[in-house]
Amino acid sequence: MTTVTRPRVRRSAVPATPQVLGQVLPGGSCRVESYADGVDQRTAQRLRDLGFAPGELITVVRRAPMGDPVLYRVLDTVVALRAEHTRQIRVSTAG
Amino acid sequence: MSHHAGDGSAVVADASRVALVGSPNAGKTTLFNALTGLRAKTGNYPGVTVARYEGVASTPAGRIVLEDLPGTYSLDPMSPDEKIVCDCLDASADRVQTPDAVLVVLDATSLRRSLGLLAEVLRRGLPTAVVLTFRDELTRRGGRVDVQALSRAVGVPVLPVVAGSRDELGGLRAALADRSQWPAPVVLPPTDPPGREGWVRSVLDAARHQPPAGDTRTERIDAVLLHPVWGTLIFFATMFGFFQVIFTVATPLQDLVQRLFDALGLLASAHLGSGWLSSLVTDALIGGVGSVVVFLPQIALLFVLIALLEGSGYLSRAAFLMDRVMARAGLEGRAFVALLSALACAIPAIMATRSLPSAKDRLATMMAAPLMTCSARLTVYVLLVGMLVDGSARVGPFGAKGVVMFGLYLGGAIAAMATAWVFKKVTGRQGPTMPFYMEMPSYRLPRVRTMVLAVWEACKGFLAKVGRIILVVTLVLWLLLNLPARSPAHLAAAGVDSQDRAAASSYVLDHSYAAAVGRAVEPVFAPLGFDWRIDIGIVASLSAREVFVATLGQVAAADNPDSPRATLERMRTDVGGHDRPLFDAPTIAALLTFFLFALQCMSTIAVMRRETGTWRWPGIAFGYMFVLAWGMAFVVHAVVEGIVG
Repeated sequence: MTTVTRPRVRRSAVPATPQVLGQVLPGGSCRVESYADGVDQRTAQRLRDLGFAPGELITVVRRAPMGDPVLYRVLDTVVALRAEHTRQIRVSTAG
Repeated sequence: MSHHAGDGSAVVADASRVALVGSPNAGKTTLFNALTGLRAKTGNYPGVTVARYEGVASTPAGRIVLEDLPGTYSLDPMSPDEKIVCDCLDASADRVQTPDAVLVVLDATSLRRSLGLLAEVLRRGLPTAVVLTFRDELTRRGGRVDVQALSRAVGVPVLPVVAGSRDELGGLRAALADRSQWPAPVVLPPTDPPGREGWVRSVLDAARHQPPAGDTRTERIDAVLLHPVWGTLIFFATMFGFFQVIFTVATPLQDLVQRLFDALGLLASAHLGSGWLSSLVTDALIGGVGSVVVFLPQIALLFVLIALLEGSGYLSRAAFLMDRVMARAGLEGRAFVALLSALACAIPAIMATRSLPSAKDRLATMMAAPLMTCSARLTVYVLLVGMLVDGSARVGPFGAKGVVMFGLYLGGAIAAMATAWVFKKVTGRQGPTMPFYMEMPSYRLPRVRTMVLAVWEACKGFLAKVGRIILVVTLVLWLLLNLPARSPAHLAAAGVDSQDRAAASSYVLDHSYAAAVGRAVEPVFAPLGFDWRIDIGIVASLSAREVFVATLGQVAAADNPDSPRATLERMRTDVGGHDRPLFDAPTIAALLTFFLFALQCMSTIAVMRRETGTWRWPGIAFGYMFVLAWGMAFVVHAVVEGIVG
């Protein structure tokens, strides 16, 4: 198993301003700021290829029935990412 | 899952080569098929092009070789597929031949992302042109791009195509003929990520690009198909319907094939009399081949359904819905697609694992795939379940046969998941892990041509397998079952009336070479209730599982060629010291279980060897599956014996 602790984001646990992509609720938007410290180089590279690059606007489309993965609209495409990666993407509220 | 027709080996040696490069799902394979006329299956699943394919395209200036490279997001390779693309465009890498020119396929609806790939390709300095696909979808979603301005901005020709438009394909062929019009761009795009992003922005500005709005049609469909309740229900209903269609719709077609072969057999025996030649032709050739060809309708239907799911885009949704479940086994949603295609055959499934970016996931999926119930097992199951369960028996509203079948499929799936989990544990934490990502394509109407070709490919492959392996094995088996030949004098000496055909052939069978082989391995399988006649079938089915059906057919035909099935049901054995029907419930259940787990397929072993590059993994797969098969069959035999007494 790749993940031992799965970050289930409960609605009550969502902070007023989301810090990472995984905390943004479906329907919400945000802008990518940076990647978390210690993120795997290959992961960062692939996220950048897919459009999850600093400065890009991301919209959360919907969660899978079991909460993970989540669909994101990025650069006019729809991409599914797992929570283990979306908690490594720092975001700011879309402005 | 991508099936290109032909093996691509018969290409023109000295023709110039053009490579197709593009992101997964950009429409590369559709374009490849349209240009080469080599028929290929295209899908809607990201990463559908998993192997290297070549084809010959005719242009006004002669023939060129087109190479369809695997889909990639960048030239910074992560998976084996992407490494191929990278090496191919690198003139200094001699592992893969560098093409004379590159055709970059860009999806017009995702230009903001895919132009980054074009920037990387342009820097390789090869003559390049761009093919712009899905412009109709861009317009439908309220987006816009000026093709001429885009061409000026990137510095290479841009050729728009809408899949299926003959005029535009003609223009593309003309462009392929005259590659002097493909200049290397005067100004190369920058290499650093911020610089490249600036380049993409300036190109899009110059092309007066208006990005498309979200695809409302796809969103509305997803709202239902990915809904926590409805989406899950529809998923299970789809999977259940999948099997119901395969078993109910195929039956009348199979009866038709069976009748055809019966008629052929009668025709042959009418002309050949009752000698050994007649037996060879009717029992071995027509009977053996017919017993396998009868499954052609089922295989065709299975591929129709998979092509339908893939072409519409639902297969990607299924992978999305199943990702969390697959994660339990340490795999990802895409592995679900490989395992689903293993329901047709483990061979395309093992090849489909190439779309998995992680090498560890690939290996675990490869080890699991042969446990999924493939169409070859289906032939064995249909025969055995037919003998085990009365055709009219029902469990609630469903036929009992269908329920047992569903159970067998479920058992295979659970065993596959458990295997994947174990192998992920074993391969452990060594090596880098790949991030998980998956693109959701828009829903599209599956193309009839694509589906017809998928089915045609599958049926052709199946019949070729029948032609090569099964025909040879049935012939060899016929010889083993009928030799040494016994003279009437010998039969008389043994106390057998040579005029009684059934008794004579039964004596020949009991003393044949095949019987010697079967008896030699009998001790291994005796605890499972199998006698030497079943053992012959198991040994023969090492070549391909369908052979088991053909073998039992021959064994039975030796006693009564008119109704092999009835003969099988009447056969008796004295394994274990007491006389009982050979095919009693515990034995049939044990046989079903054995076939559920055992890797009785030479082709799968060969493909596994090719894909892993070592005999180690196919060896391990054969070993653990045999042990699992024997052990589980032993348990099932004991349990069923306990129930029926």
